[in-house]
Amino acid sequence: MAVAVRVVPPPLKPQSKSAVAREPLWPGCFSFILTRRFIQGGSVRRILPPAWPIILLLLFFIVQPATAKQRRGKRSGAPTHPAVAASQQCSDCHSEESADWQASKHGQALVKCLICHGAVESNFIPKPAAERCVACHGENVRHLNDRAPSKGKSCFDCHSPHLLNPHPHTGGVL
Amino acid sequence: MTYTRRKFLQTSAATAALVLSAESGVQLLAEQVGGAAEWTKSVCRFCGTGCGVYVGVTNGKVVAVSGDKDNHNAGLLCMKGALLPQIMNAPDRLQHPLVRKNGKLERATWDEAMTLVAAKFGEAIEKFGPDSVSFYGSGQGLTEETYVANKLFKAGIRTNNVEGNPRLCMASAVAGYLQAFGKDEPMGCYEDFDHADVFFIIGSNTAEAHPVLWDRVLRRKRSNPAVKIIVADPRRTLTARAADLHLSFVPGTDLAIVNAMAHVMVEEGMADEKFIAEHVAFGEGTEVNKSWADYKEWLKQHTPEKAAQIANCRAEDIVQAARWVGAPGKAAMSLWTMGLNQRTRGVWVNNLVINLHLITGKIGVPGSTPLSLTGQPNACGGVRDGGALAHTLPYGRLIGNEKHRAEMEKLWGVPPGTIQAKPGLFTMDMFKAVESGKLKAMYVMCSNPCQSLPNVGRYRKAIENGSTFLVVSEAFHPTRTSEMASVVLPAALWAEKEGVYGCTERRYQFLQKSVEPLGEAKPDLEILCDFGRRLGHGALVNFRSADDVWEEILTLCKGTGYDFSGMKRERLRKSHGLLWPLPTENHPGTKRRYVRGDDPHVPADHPSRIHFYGRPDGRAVVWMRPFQPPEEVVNSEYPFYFTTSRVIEHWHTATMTGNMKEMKRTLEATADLHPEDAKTQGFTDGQSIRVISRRGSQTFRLRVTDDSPRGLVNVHMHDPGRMCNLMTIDAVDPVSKQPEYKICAVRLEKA
Repeated sequence: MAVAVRVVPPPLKPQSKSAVAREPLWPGCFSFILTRRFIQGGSVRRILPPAWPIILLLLFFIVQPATAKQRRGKRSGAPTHPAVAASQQCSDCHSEESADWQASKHGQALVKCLICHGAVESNFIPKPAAERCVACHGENVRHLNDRAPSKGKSCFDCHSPHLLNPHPHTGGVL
Repeated sequence: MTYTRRKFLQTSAATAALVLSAESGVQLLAEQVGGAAEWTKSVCRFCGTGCGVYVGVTNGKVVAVSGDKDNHNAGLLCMKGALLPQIMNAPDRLQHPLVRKNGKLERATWDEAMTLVAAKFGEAIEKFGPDSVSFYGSGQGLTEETYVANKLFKAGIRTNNVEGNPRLCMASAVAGYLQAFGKDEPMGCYEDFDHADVFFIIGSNTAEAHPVLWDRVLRRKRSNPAVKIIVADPRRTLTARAADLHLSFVPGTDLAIVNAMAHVMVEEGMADEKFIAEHVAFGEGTEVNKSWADYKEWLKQHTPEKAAQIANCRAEDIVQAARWVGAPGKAAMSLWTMGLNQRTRGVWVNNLVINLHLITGKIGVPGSTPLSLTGQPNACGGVRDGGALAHTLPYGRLIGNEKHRAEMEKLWGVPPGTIQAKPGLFTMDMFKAVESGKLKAMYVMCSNPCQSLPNVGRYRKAIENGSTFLVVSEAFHPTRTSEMASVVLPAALWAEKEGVYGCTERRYQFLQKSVEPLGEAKPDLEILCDFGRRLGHGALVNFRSADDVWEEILTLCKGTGYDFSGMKRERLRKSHGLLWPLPTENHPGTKRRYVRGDDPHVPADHPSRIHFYGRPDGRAVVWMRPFQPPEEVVNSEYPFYFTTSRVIEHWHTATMTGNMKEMKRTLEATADLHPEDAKTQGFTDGQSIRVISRRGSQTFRLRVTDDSPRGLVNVHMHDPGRMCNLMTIDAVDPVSKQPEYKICAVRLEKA
């Protein structure tokens, strides 16, 4: 077994939790539509009065996922989690997430972090896709797109990560 | 390029659609999971829980697993099961035979390897007789494979030197059941988890060793918070941490504790006098010649206070545990595994746990049963039921019984007197025969004894220095056994072959072949049949497929207590597990044995609801077993108890789980020591320490933790680089011949 080198971990929690959220959305959205040359044959001023709130909203929903995906793409090429010593536990750095996990059904059943998040370094999975859920929840994944309300959604759109409480609108009751 | 407003909106809509479909990778996956990939039905390769899985195959490779929701596991898998696909194409999968030449294992053809194996075995048999060779199998082989090996060695080669790693795993549980009920295998089933009001878990870290069953315990507790979980274990395991009562004690003193629990139950009137009068007999030593009054008298000395003194625990905890387990009207389930079985008094302590159920009548009703948990996926179905041990024959028959031998000779179509009357060498004796040079050739299938035997340094040395020709049939190389082999045969692994597994609860399940074997690997069944033909026993092993073998097996179980002759191949293929006895094709299977209306062996008009038909008097036996210390106790020279344990990430000797990229980080076994002990020894967390027993020593990184009680060092058992078994003791239970892995004495030094 390759001996893992103990490193001083960088502030992983903010990075892993909210790298996407902290990046300003302006470059990908508003500054983009406000570029005057983008729409030729007319000025922005001429379009804006009747339709601008709708267009702004539409563009936000169109472009935001694309740029979010771009940012994830950038990260996926490089190691996404530093190597950690065998003696280190995930909870050493990710105490909040670990506490949520521990209170969840996954925590009780000892479905540990690595099942969703893979291993460390390049095998780390920051945002697990539904394929990581198939082993135990194959039926749910298979029928995810059968009908609303799950149609087109990922598992974690409804099940909050780590705590996994389903359906927040019901207060976590199934 | 110009954009009009209309064009812009059109482009936007198209972009939106594209982005949404790319973001909805879930949708694509769902389609793939549902349709594109091919799914075959199988069973998990790891522990004895026997979880049903579907194996997902794309382009001839196993790419996914998904729990079978129609099986007992309700679609759930543990961490190891979820990562199963990674074992199939692991870098250390052996893809061609290896033959040792000039001290080195070199690539060989199948014919070259098998010619050599047959020649060496043939030569040994001719020169030194059939007992100079042996077979050492596994609770992980398919039933059909183990059956063929058993038949070939006992009826073809004519030696009873047939053993397997279940001897190291559940032999004490077998003897416990046999002594109490006259029949092996549990009477309860997994469904009992859903009805139990009390779980008495002793000598089992269920949360890590049987996670899916543990989840069922927790589901029961969630559905009814009044359910109590009692965990009796020296260590504060993850199981113990979730318990309502954790009873920690000095290793090896659990006999005193369980007797004291029985004492409390009797003293406080929890005994079921009617059940005892109708269904229970009493015994001491080997004779069933005592009475209920004798037992009560005998129990008087086993007070909780005395037990607490011996075990260094609180008498009140023993009383509390007894009150919860014995409470009239409450269903109680006992679960145990290696903590009880791997002991020099493993059979006795098995007896004592069963006693608790017999004196309270908590058996044969939903939620009330003793249930030993099995460590391997087919220890029960293949080795235990299949009679592939040195003293047994298939389906409850014994080597020592002339009638049974004659019956098997007839069924196998061999002349009377073919099967030798004397049992073969039990596992530890088999390896001692390697040491003494009496054993000239040994065939190891699907097991890793050169890591997993107790006091392994002794036997590694014997193999290294001796002249025994060691054949290892194994899917991975190198393992700590294959590295010592004369010939290594590449065996097909799990989804590359088909057959039957039988798990803890008498559940038989079919594993469908999903992919072709990797490289030149072959199923063990094919290898064994080839081996048999080369030895001149072609007629005995004339099987074209595993289906043929199963057909023959169905003829052997008929009329025995196991009778599963209704489990035709097609039914097994379609089913999600069937529980024997199941004597006819339309029988639904048996959830609870010995129960009228459920077990087909109890006549429908039997006057009692329960009938223990395994014994001539129809009664189950409560045995009087006093406290007896383990083989090795601590002293001033070796002041610490040493025990070995599992972690949830790894299984057995980690030949499979060590290949999972997620599990590699946890491969290193640590030595766990209580903070106070670390302080008195002058150790700090993370430093290297040497654990030294009378047999061997090994360096580990120290983990200071209150998981270990004072005076106990715990080491994880899976690490091939840091073998806990260099220290463990090879003393065995006099009845079950199972070694005392769980307890020995050590001293600690700074490394």
